[in-house]
Amino acid sequence: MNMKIYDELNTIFQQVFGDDEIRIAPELTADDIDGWDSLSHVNLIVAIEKKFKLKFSQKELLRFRNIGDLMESISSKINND
Amino acid sequence: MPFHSMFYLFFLIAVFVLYYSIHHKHRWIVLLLGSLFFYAFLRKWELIVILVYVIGVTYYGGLIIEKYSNHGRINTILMGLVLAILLPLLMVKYPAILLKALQGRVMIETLASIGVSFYTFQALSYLFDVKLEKIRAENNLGYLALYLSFFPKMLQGPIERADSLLPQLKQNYQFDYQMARRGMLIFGVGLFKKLVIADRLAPMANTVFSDVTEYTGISLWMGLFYFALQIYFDFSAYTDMAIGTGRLFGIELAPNFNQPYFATSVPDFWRRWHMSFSRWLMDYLFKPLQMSVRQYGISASVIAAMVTFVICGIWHGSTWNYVMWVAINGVYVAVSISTAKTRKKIHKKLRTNRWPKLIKTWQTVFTFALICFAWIFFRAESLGDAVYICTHLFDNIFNQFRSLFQKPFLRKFIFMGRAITPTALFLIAMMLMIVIEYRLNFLKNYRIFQSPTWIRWSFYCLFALIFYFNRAKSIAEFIYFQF
Repeated sequence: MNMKIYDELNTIFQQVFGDDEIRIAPELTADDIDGWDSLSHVNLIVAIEKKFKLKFSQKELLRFRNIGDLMESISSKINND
Repeated sequence: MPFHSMFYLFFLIAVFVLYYSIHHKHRWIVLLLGSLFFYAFLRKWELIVILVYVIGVTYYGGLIIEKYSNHGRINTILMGLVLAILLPLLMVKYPAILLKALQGRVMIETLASIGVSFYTFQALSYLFDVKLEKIRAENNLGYLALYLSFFPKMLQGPIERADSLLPQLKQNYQFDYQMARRGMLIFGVGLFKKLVIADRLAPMANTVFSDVTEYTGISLWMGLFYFALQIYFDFSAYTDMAIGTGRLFGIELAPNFNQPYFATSVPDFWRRWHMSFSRWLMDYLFKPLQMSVRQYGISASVIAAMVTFVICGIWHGSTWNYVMWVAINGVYVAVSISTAKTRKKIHKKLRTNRWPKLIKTWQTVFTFALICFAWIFFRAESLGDAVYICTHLFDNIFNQFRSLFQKPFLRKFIFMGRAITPTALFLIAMMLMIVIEYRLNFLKNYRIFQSPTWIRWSFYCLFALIFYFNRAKSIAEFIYFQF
C-alpha cells in the first residue's frame, strides 16, 4: 500500500516540479526541492487531492513538516475509506 | 528614545547592570519594567493606554480561544478579538475615516501611533497561533506583557512569533559572552549603517524629491538610487540595533533583512525585505487564503497576492503613496505568478542554464529596477511629483551622458550639490562594502570573530575612526518610525 502511494506521489512531484529526476523521501522538506515555494505547494496539494480523491483540512495542511507527514496523512485517509 | 541617542546608551547600561545583578528568576521583570519605561519615555499618554489595552485583550483573548476551541462560534469569537485588537491601530492611523463614521464635530488630534502597528500585528499572530494550536495560551500576564512590549523591538519591530520569543523570555538567563559579543558587533554595524550611510544618503535623496522638476533623466535615477539605499540602510540599521540589544540580554530576535536588493525576482525581494512582516502576511494571510481557494488554480494565488498587498498597504497607511506602491508591487507579483510557467518554458527552450551567472545578474538588476520604480511612489511628495518622475526618467539622457564627467554637471546633477571627491569616495566605499560583505559574509556569519586578535581590533579601530570622521552632519529620524 505504501509503495503504491509512494510511486503515485513521486509521479505527482515530478509533474508539478517538471523534473523527472525527482525521488522523494519521507525526511525531505520544501527546502530540499528546488522550486518548492508557496505557489508550487498549492499546485502540489491540488494535484494530490485530485489523484487520491481526498481533501485536506486547513489544520492538517499546517501540520505537514515534511513529505513523510504528507504520506502518512494520505495513507490514513485512504485507509479510513 | 531613538537607538542612536545618548539617552538610549545610558538606558541600556542601566538596564544591563540591573538585569545581571538580579537573580535570574526575576530578570524578566527588569526587562518588563525597562520596556514600559522605554515606551513611557515618548511621553505620549495615549500610547501607554493602547499598549495596556492590547496586552489585556491579547492575554484574555488567548485564554478564551484555548478554552472555547471546540465551541461552534469560535471563529466569531476570534474575529471579535481581532477587531478589538485592531481598533486602536485603525483609530490612530485613520482618524479622518473614523471622524466621518462618528459624524461628530469633535476635533480628534492625530494620535501618535509609534510602535502600535508592530505590536498589534504581533498580538494577532499570538492569537492565531493559539487558535491553530501551534502554541499554548500564556497563563502569565507578565510574560505576555513582556512578549508584546520588549523594548528593543517596540518601535519598529521585528514582529516576533510567540513560539520564538516567549520561551526565550522564560529561560534561565545566564550571561553569554559570545552572544553579547555578536550583539555588540551587529549593534555597531547598525549604528554605522544609520549614521554614516543612511543619514548621508538622505539629504541627497531629499534634494531630488523635494524639488523634482529641477531634475530629469539620470538625476532622477540617482535620486531614486540614493533613496532605495537610504531606506534599506535606515530600516536594516534599526533592526540590527534591535537584534544587537536583544543579544545583550541573551535574547535572539528574528532577522528582518536578507540582502534584499540581491533578490532575483519581486516575490524573492518580498521574502527578503522586512521579513518578520512579510512572513506574517504569508503565514496568516496569503497561504491560508491561497489554500482556501485552491480549486481556482493560478487565479487563487493571484487573488491571494492582491489581497495580501492591500493589507500590506493599509498597514503602512492610508495615503495615496502606499496605495500606489502596494498596487504596483501587487501587479509585479501577480504578473510573476501568472507568467511563471511560461518563463520557465522560455528558459528551457533558450537553454539559458548555459549562462547561470549572466542570467542571475540580469534578474537581479531587473528586479532592482522594478523595485526602485515602485519606490518612486513610496517616496514622492505628491502624486504629481511621482507622475513627473515617471514621465521624465529618460528625458535628456543622451545629453546627460555626454556631460557626465564634467564637474559642474557631476556636482549638481549626480551628487546633488555635494562636493565631488568626498561624495564619490563615499559612494565607491559603500558599494565596495556591500559587495565584499555579500561575497565574504564577514559580518553576517561573524567570521570576523575567527580572525586573529590584531586583525579584529584593527577593524574595530578603523570602524571607529571612519565613524567619527564620517558621521552625517544632520541626523535624520528613522524612516519606519512613522509606522
